[in-house]
Order: sequence, then structure tokens, then C-alpha cells
Amino acid sequence: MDLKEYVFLGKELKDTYVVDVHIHVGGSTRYQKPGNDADSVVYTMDRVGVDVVCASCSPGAYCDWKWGNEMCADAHEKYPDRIKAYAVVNPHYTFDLDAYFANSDRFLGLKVIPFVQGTLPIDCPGLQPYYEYADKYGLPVLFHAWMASEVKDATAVAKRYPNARFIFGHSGFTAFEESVAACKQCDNVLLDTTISDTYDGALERLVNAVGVDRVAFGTDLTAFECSHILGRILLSRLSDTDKEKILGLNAKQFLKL
Amino acid sequence: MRFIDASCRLGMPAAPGEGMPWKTEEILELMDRCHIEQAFAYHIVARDGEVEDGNGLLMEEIKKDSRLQPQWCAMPATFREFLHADALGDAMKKNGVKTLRIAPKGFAHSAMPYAMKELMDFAAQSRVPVFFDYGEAVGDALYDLCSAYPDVKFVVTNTAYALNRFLGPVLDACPNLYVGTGNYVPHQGLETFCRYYSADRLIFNTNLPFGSATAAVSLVCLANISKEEKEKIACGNMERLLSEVRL
Repeated sequence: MDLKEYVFLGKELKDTYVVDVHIHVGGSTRYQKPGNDADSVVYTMDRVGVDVVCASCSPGAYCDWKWGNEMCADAHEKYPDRIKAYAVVNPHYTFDLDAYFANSDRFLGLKVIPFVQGTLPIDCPGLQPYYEYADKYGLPVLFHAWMASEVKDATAVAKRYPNARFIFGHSGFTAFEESVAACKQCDNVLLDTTISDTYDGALERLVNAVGVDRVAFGTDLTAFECSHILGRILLSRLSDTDKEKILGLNAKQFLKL
Repeated sequence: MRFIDASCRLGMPAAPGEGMPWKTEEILELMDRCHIEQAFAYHIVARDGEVEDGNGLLMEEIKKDSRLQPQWCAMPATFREFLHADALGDAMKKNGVKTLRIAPKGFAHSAMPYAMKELMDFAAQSRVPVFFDYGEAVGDALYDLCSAYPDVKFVVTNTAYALNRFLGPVLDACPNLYVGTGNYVPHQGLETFCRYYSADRLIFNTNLPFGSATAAVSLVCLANISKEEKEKIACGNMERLLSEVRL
């Protein structure tokens, strides 16, 4: 069955490995987020056929990041094969990441979003120790990379720390030229598909520019629903082979799942 | 499942994204790909250029395919800048137009009765559904608009993920408000909406070409709601609104 048929049948994807590299657990004071706990995330994953999600705690990014990271680790511990956890880091604080990563699989990698932590840039001094740690241990790092300036900074970081692996969240749709440049300059960069609203054809444009191997499925679940982004891929003009790479195979290799 | 797109846009955008399917032929191809049987469209010139000229261009453009149906933009007849209600009704009847779109912010006029009463009285009496983007009536303005004209059926389009705390109380207070599903993307948004407000108040639309038909169709098809609820959202509710129009 063609992958697009799953949409029209309203069925969950089967026999296709699907990894969502960019989701969130936890509620929000800023807007309503129905179904933001681990159980609801897994319910949604089963509804559409997602095998693995990689989550950070969004409210923790805005305030007490340690509290948020514990929430995210708890979600992973409840569903260890389905939910992987990013640890949110904060450039205003120093923290020994061994507490998270040494002899433990509670966390998969790091989430970096300093624009909500005093509007600091991605390449600020306070984040360098975290990047050094990621580089030393080959950890994945998910950037919130919306603005062109963020993507440029993220690219500089990816060049400086070639052993770390960087996912640029959002940027392929919001800062296209800079994202294409990042992929050309850095082998350790993957772009995700996370966007709440963009036009049909934007995904094909991105894939044509950077190559299908550099794009991975991401949705911002539970800030958003995920089915609309899944549908953008499934109903795109791409081949099923390319869709499968974006949906899961690229992330599986990149994140060493 | 049949889909009727309750609101999309035709015409040349000022700043299209590379590869954006804005040409009418491209929109028709997307309709085919997404199983959209019919689309109600307004013209970008009517929204961003000049209203009456744009409505005229729309009537020419939709001649390309019978699946395209007209949605006219409208504004108050202040200084005779736009048709008075009687003339508007006659013109709509003559041209087979059954839906309107307003843009109080975009057109820089008040949405309150001292400015829009004549136009809204016409919409109420003719039962013509009136569409507007959420950006035209954000937050309290959404309540002000819907409560000022309780007999007008409003459809808010181009919403987003972060509006539920504003939207819910307006839905409670104003049974005349319907929500377009294009880009209504809170997590579990459709099933939560159906649980609290019923599927009867959701209207499928795409916001093409800036919005995505592939995303809009997937939101409905993959929602954890019943087949009956999906069919209401996809086409049934819009058909019901259209059947009530009296021009």
C-alpha cells in the first residue's frame, strides 16, 4: 500500500519505522496544551504510527530546567522504548552533565533554546561547556533554530564541534538559505520538519536543496498536533523511499537508535 | 471521504515561497491529490488590492473549473466605497455567491455595529456564512464581533495552536461561531474540540496557497474521532450552512 493511503484510510502507519526527533512534554502557562503527559504522547504515537519520539520539557526551558529535565526523564523511564529524553541546558548555569549521562541512558542528548533564557544567542559563552561535552561524547543536540541569526550561530557551533551531532529544529522552513548553507558546510547537521504552518511544496523544495538524507521528521508535539506534519510528508510528491528516510531511517542513523 | 474546502485563496501573491502552488492549475492539482471535491475561494486582489475589482477577477478565474466556487470579500458601504446591502445581495444572487469574507483590520474599518450593521444585517437575513481570519479579530475582539451579531454565522479561519484559552469561552458564549480547521493545530485539537463543542462547529478549509492542503486533510483523516464526525467536518457542515442560504 502506498504510504499516502494511510492518510485517507485514517489508519496508523504500519511497517514503516517512524521517529519524531522534536517533541515536548509538560504543559504551558502561555497556552493550552491538551495531552502533554507521557501517556497522552504514547496514545498519539499509537494513533498515527510513530515508533519513537525524542522529547524535551518545554516549560522547563522557560524556568526551572532541572525540574523540567526530571519530568522528561520520568517520561522516558515510563516508556523507555518509545520516549527518549533531551536534557534542556541553560547558559546562565553551570552543571556537570555527568549527572545526566555518566553510566545512564536517562537522556539521549541536549536541547538548546537560549532565546527563552534571556534572549541569548546559540553561540553564547555559557553554552560552550555543554557543546564541549556533547562533542566529547558524540551526543546529539537539538537546537531551536528559527531565525536566520540562530541558524548562522548554530552552524558556527556545528563547525567548531564536529564530533557532536546537531539537529536544527524548524530552520529548513524558516531560514531556508542559511539551512542549506549549514548542510553544505557541516556533515553533522540534520534539519527537522517541525513547523506549524507552511505551504505545500516547501518540503520538496528543502529536500531538493539539501538532499533527502539531511531531513528528519519532527513535529513539536505536544505544542502542536503531529498528524498535519506527518500528512505533509505522506501526501507530498516525494517517493515512498524518500518518505521512509525522512520519517525514521535518517533519524535512526543520526541518533544511533 | 469527500472534502469541501470552505476557504482558500486564488491569485498572485506578492511574496510567494519558492515552489508555492499559487496558480489556479496548481491548486486544482492539490485538490485532486488531497481528494478535495470543491473549494470556495476568494481572490487575493479582493483581500490585498481592491475589493470589487478582486471579486470581479475571482469570477473570471473560477471559470477555469467548476470545482471552484466564489467567496466574495466585503466591507461596509461607507462613502459608497462598496455595494450597499441590497445591491450586494442582488450581485451575489446573480453570480451564485453564497459566502462572504470580511477583514476589518485588513480593510481598516470598525467591526462594531455603528460601522457594519447594514452588512451584517444582510448576512443574518440571507444566512450567508461570513468568514474571517483569526488575525482580524484576536482575543477579546473575537467575542466582540461574534456577540455583536448573534444571528450571523461566522467561520474563523487561519487559526493556530495557541488560541484555545481565548477560543473556548467565545464558543461557549457565541453559538454562531464556527471554526475552520486549516491550521487549527493544537495537540489532539479536533478530538478535544468535538468532545467539548461537537463536530458540528468545525468546517474544513485549507488556507491555500499559504496554508497546506496536505496538512489540512491529514488533520481530519488522522484525528481520533468517529467517521460521522469526520464527514461532518470534511463536507457536511459546510453543505448544511450553504443549504440555509436565502438569496
